[in-house]
Amino acid sequence: MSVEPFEWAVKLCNLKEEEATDSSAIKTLPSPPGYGVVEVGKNQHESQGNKATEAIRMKELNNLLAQKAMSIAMQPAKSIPMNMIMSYMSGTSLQIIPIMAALMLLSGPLKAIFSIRAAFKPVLGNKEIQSQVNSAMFLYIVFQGALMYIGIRKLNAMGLIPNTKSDWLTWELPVDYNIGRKVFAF
Amino acid sequence: MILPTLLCIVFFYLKSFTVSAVFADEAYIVDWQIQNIGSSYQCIINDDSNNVLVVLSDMDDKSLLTYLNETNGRLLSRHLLDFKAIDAMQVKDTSNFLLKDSYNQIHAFESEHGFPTELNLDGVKFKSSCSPNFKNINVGNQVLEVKDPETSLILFNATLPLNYKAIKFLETDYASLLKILIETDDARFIFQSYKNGELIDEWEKDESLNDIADFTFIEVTDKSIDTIADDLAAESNISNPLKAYSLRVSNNWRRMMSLLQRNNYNPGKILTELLSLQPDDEMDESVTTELNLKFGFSKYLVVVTKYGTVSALDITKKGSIVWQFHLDMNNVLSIEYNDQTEELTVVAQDGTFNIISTDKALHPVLKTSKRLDGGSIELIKRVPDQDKYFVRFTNQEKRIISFEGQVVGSKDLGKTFVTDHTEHDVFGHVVKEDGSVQDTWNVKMSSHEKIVAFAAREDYSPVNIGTVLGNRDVLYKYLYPNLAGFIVLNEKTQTLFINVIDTVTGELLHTQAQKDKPDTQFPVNIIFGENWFIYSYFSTEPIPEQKLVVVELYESLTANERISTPDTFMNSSKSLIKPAAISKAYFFPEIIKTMSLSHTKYGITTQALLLELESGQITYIPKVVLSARRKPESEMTDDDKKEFMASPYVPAIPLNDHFIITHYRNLFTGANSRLASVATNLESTSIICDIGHDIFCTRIAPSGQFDMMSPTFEKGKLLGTIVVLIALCFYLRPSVSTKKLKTMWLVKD
Repeated sequence: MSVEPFEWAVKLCNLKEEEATDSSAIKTLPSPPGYGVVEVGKNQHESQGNKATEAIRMKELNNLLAQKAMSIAMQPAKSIPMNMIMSYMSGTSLQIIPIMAALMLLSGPLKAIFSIRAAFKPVLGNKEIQSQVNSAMFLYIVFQGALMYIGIRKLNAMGLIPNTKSDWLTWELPVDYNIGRKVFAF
Repeated sequence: MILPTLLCIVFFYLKSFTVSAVFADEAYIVDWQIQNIGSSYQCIINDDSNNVLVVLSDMDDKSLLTYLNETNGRLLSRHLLDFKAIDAMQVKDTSNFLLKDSYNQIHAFESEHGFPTELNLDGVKFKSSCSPNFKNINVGNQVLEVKDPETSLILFNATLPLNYKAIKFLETDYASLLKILIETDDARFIFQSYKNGELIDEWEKDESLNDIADFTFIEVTDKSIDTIADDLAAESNISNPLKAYSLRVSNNWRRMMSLLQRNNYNPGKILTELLSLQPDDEMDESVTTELNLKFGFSKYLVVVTKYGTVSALDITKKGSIVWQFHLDMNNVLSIEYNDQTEELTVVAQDGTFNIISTDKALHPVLKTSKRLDGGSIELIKRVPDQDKYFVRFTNQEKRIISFEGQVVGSKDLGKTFVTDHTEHDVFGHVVKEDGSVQDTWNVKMSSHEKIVAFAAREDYSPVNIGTVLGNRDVLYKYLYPNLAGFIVLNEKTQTLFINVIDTVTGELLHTQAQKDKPDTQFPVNIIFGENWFIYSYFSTEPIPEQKLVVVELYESLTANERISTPDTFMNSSKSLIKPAAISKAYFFPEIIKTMSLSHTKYGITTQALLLELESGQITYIPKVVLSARRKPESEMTDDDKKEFMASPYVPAIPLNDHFIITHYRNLFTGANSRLASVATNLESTSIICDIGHDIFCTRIAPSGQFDMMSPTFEKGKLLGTIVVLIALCFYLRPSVSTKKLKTMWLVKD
């Protein structure tokens, strides 16, 4: 079997390819907005005046980050009503799909709580909004707990949680009434 | 070492995949009936125009008319008359015959279908047709000669069998035709029809299974399991697990080699055998026999007649007689089988007993024939699981005996309590050292009371000690084993009292009364299950109706409350807790004659109540239907509805056609019929036999055939799919990995 690479892959590796193509159009195009060419150390005065606006911008950024943290915290809360309705509608019959769904409701929040840092990574590392992020994290845990509670309720309704007497009946010993004697009747 | 291990594993899995199926639709295939006419044919009437023989015989205190096809002896129909005929007469030149009952009244019947007819009997003089006319007939040594009435020369003759006893019927035209029915001394009736001295028709009816006194079951054991059991036993004796493992591997290797050799190393043949892919019509007899053995369906029903004829009937082969053995005894009371010694013990009323030793239920040989001293026996019962018997003699002496001759007392048996009952008493006894019994307690009826039914609780090892309710709470069952229930009829007040007693102390634990004017002309029955009993009776008020009452006993009616404590030794004579009872009554549309309980191997399957009906049919009701905790729908909570198999209380239990296990058969059960159930190796299935005037056996599965494959199960297709999937995986795996590699190297396919 002859092995033949893709055309773009061949061109990418070919150094002479760039010279061969007409790149004048690329060079004359303007930069995209916000991607201007920065010339370092050219205008000292101008950069001094920018510092005040910089502080305002930082504050706005922090506000944005706090909002972002809050929206991350609210994410599990949004799925609570849906999960409630779903677990109510799917009934208590023992079928593989509802059982799996209920188990997912248990395992999902657990996983989410353990990987809470990953979830909040975009807003972490900023000392000024740390307290706000912490409270958002707390809310996040609370909402995940609520999801877990729905899952536990569902499993209990299905009778999969051994919390009644009948679940432990097999381990209860019968009484041997006739030790060392025989009784029969005709 | 690895290769054989792998091969063994593959072999094992293939073998375990290929469980053979049992057919679900078994009506008229597994069930069979032996239709008896009677041990003595009172009268035989021949109707030439319809080619029918009509046999008049006795059944209890009534008469039975049987119509037989004259050519082949096939039974056409039977009619139980509501009177006892003492004589019969054939009306000349018509298809009618007359029967005379014990009040000298004449009843006319037509002999084609057996319907009663109206005949003008004026001028008809009753002349019996029952005794054969031996005029000009010479009965000699095994030969019957017909002589010409004029010349007295022998026209032709018939040969009689060696054990010829009597000629019950004879008809000849003294020219060319002769029809005779011969009775032999082993209760066989042989019909012969001669034309011009040549035998043209001959058939026989076997009536040796009439008047059955007792029966027992013999399990035919599966020898193929023995080698596996031996292997497992040998394995469990080795303490080193590695050595035990290597033994198992070598055993399986040996088994696989024998399989290969058996199939001449032909892979096609091996695969066919492993998958047992033979089409159904090739499922020959040996395969069926093997399956029957494996599933424990192979059993012999051993019956003994009142006159000492022991017969073994193969239950799987439509009741064909495997062997028959005649014992010189009369008024037989009981037959028991000991599966350790493979011996049958037959006991008669006068105390004679015979022990027949069998070799794996085959080849019966008389071992001992002796007589017990102590006089004639009134009642003999086997001590469960032992080769010892409780005997009540006619002089009311009671003893525990063994037919081996030694004295059996409390030393051999341990502390033993026996409860015995008569019509007016219930006695409690304890066995003394010399085998005699000492009275401990006595329940006496007053002069106008009598015991009409008695049932002891059967010995169960409890599968579950409680009943699980809909909300997953538990009601604890009352599992005290020493219980007996009996029904007392008070003739003065026409009331039935149902009592449950402790058979050790005689203490009354539960009692209830039925005051709806029970009619005791109809049968009254009681059976005792695990923690419940069911009784049936016919009440006349408010409307005449058959009733079935179920009573369930619990430790407490409060959920989750257990009163018995498993750790402490329960001394029942001191601190026995009383049961809490719930009861429900049901109507049943037919009169119940006998009741019995189904038995399965482990007792996990829901028990079924087997009912023999007065109409000659057998049906069963699952115990869950007859529950004492059923409530009217309006009172049921959501939790109640969640309970397993819960259904609202409906007072009438319909007779469901699907549960009539006799199908279209008409059973003549007689007065002393008994219904027995015996477990098979399949937990779902139980063998049921009804032994009365007729013998009927079938198999039932009260909870459905949950451990059997359905006949439509497509084993070949399933295995084929698995093989194809495995092959696909083997092909897809390398192709997927090359594809991945190529993408990484940015290479086109």
